[in-house]
Amino acid sequence: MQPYEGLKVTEVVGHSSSPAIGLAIAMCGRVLADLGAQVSVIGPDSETRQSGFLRRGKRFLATEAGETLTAHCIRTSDVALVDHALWPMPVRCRAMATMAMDHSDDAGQKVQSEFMIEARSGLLDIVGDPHRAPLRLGGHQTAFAAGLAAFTGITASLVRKRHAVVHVSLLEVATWLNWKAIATACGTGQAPSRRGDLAEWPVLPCADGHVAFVHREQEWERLLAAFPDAPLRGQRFSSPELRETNRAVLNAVLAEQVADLSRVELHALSLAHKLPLGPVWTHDELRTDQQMVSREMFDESGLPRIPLIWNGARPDIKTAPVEEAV
Amino acid sequence: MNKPLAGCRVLDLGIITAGAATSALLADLGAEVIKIESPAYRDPFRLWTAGEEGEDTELPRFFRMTNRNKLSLSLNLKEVEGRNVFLKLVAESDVVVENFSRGVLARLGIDFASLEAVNPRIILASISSQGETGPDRSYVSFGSTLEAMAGLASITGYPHGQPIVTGNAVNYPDQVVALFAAGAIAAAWQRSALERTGIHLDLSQRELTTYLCGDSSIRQDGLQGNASSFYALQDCFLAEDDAWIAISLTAEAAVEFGMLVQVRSLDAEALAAALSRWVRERNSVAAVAELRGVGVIAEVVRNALDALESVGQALQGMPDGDYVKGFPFRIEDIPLEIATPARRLGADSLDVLQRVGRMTSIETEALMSSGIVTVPPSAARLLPNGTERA
Repeated sequence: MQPYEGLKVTEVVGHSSSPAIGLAIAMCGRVLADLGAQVSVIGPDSETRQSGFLRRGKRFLATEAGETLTAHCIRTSDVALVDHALWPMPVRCRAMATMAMDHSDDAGQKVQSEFMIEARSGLLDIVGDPHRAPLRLGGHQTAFAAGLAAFTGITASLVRKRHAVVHVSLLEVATWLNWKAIATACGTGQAPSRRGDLAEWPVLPCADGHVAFVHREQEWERLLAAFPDAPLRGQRFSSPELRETNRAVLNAVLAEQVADLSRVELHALSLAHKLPLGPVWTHDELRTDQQMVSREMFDESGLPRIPLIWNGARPDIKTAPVEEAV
Repeated sequence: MNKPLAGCRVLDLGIITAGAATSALLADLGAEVIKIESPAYRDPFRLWTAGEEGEDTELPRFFRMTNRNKLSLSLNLKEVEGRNVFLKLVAESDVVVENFSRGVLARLGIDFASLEAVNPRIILASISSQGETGPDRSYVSFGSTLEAMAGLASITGYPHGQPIVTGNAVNYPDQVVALFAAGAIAAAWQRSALERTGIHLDLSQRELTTYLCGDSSIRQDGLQGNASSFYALQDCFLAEDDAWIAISLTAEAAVEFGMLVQVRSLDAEALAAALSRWVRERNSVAAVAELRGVGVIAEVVRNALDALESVGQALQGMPDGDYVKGFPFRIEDIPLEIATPARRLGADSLDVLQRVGRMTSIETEALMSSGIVTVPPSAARLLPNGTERA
């Protein structure tokens, strides 16, 4: 099933665009390409700007966003995805999305990197050790989430018969993603900053890697059953409050329990006892992971396919990427 | 002007974040979203407080923020009568959203085949941790479980350290799935109108997280720390007032900064050491201003409280000044807004059953008497004609 077969999409990014803007637009374009759209790119044509993953199924038309070519491409497209810095544009098409770092930005306070957006939104403060530097999530999660926001704005706009323009800002998306921490700050006057070793869900070393020891109070009895020999039944862990008070000791006990187990064993233990432990898999390992293999999540070149099964089939890019320099 | 999804009716079985936030976006975009909870099993977000005093025990902040713009129907799906009512509503709707554990829908007798039998054009969006199929389909997972199992944790962490997950404060896969699922549903709604067929969408949060690491999957990156291939140096540095400063240093800015601190080497390690010393001697705000002055991208790292202070005004979406979740996009000429605050359990039960389900007041009375449908205590005191019960 190719729900957007026949849809023409143009991505427009300038050489001076922030890399994050390019990544966000490229992610939105990649999702639309996965769903059958014919996606053309006007902008820097280099692997550093769009990796092989983002380039899948797209045509690269030109490296410079020249006015004539850009206007022609947008006018003949159904959808245009553009850097907000190029807005407003003299041409239009059925649905357009603009991508900005921060709509409220002025010249003196220009936010120019994804990392700055993560610093502004509070997302950066959440991850890592309290005694060490705040840590970003791996990859380009803020830019890609903004790309998904543009995707939803575009698909909703395509339902309407009228011309529509969607504006996305990375800061608004990052704030939206971090809503729970902001809600907590709002209600309690305290920010849930990074907790390191005192984390409710620590990541613990095991025999051949690491496991995210995720568990809630509801899983406590199951956890006791899964680790019957662990010293978890004493007074110090006998209530949720005491477990929170003794979190560092509890995490140390749990670390001892998993130290000699492999990730495969921890996976089996979690399935058997309905525990939400997360063995940490690398991307290379995921290509042979039974769940991923059974659902054909990776394509022949080892890249992830679209995370959507539509009436039993995963939409796929059918045409090989064609690259044309103009 | 009509919102994009005006005319689309959604039955929302979504709970906590993944499903409920997806439906909330559909509601923001103009869909009529009917949130359906069982009198005996309410959305757990109705019970989770953010730790604040004096919080509304039925409408705590997390619930309010994730369930704006929706109607509320309280319906017991475990009883045959409740299931029949649900299927009546399905016949009059376009979309069903759910994120129960796998197998629950089938046990309730409302799997895709059952829905399609009463509405051949229905769209079922099944949002799950691992997907509808596969050996891990029943694997109990929360957001951070999936960060580990999807490969995100393997690239998140300090260099030479160990993997890190976001934890309960973010549970990243639970958040980001709504941004994708709402778009997939909008695409399906348009397609279903064209093809006059039902559509079952199987959305796995683990797969989405893997997809969002697609860049790194090629390069086999290890733990990335704060570095980025776009910048000569990117990291956080501690200022004299113990605030952290986030810095992205381009190659050009590195030269300028090198001149400022009289460091000639553009080696990342040497630059980091020089920056670390330089920032530590300065107040964070002054350091950021000076760095920006020489073209360095810099920002004081804000915690959630600081972020609330700086962006809070934009989040005060209710007439009483209550904070809302905000919107991840804007649509020109169509302001997105919170037209209806989150509703008490069953506040719209009678309206939904009579208007959408076309049921008579006698039928709704019977459902209320048997406890299949409930309404808030204030509404329960009224007879269908609006007068007080004896």
